[in-house]
Amino acid sequence: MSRCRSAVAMSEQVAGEWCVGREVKAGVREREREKMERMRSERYRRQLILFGEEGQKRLRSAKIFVAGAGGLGSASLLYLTAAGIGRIRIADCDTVEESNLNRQILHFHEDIGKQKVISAKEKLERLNPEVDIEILAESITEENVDTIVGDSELIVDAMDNFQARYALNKCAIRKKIPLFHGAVYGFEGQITTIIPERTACLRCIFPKAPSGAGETPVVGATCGVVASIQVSEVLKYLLRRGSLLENRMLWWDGLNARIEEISLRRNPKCEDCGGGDEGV
Amino acid sequence: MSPLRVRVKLFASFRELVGASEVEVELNAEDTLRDVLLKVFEGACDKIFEDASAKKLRDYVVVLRNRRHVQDIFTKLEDGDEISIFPPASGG
Repeated sequence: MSRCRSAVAMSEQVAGEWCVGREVKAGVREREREKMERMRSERYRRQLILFGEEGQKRLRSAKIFVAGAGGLGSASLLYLTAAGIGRIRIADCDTVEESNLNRQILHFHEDIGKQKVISAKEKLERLNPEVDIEILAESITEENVDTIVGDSELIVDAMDNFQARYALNKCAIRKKIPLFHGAVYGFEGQITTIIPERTACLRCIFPKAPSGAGETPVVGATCGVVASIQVSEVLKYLLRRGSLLENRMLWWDGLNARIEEISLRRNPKCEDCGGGDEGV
Repeated sequence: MSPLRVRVKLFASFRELVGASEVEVELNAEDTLRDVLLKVFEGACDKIFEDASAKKLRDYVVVLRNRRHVQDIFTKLEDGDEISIFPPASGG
């Protein structure tokens, strides 16, 4: 009997210790969670003033796709990651080359030869470990674009060619998700926000791609300006604040430090979006 | 009748082609957008028109009149019109 009592007592003791252990672990987890919350609040403190906790949560729950980790992609990825977007999927088929380094600020000299998406992921995760960075070392084509974009709720256009841009345009139309278009040339750049069924799509604006002969001149800072505006548009869209560049194209003229605004309309004969009721 | 004056704004590679970001053009009342473009791009019309007849713009050329797209290059213009012309920037 005494042995049974001892066994019971021991069981109770073990159970008790196990309960205490579980409480201790729960306490540790709670403290860790509070620590993370404090860090998060500290990290985003300056934008929480504007966004509030609800706004920051919207960013944290967002899943977005960034097409390209080059000039525009580098700048936009840095700011999107810093802002605390929950999941960022990046697709780029290129490797880092020396001629990229005047403008592709996510990549450093020692990254020459490395796949851009790998180089990008390394830096972005160091910038903000809270953000989930998914990478695809693939080119974007008509055939794979829907799969690559997946369940992303928006697309950031950081491409360097119109063929891929048109593929993204059609994907955005099919999935009914916004496309944040940007492009650069030297000291100049263009930005517009495309909302399927509401605004001119990329094909409405540019029915045909430019001839594309020769290398495109690009000043690094131009990428910064254009990408920053694209990121502003993304944040405004996710936060449901401000006015987007809907049916408006901003043209940045860096040489003269001017911004022009160009009004746009849908093309009723657009081969991509069908145009709705409006004309270009 | 006094001549009309329109302002033509050029962007991206068209600036380099013409050598200016903005050009003021004097035209007659019966002149059209096509006439303005022929004057501005004199010597380089092949860059914006499909062929020597200059009846159609190359598909990728975007032309706006007072910020709205223009598809008919035979459109008559008015005094004070602002024409913007650009190829899409494509770099990234």
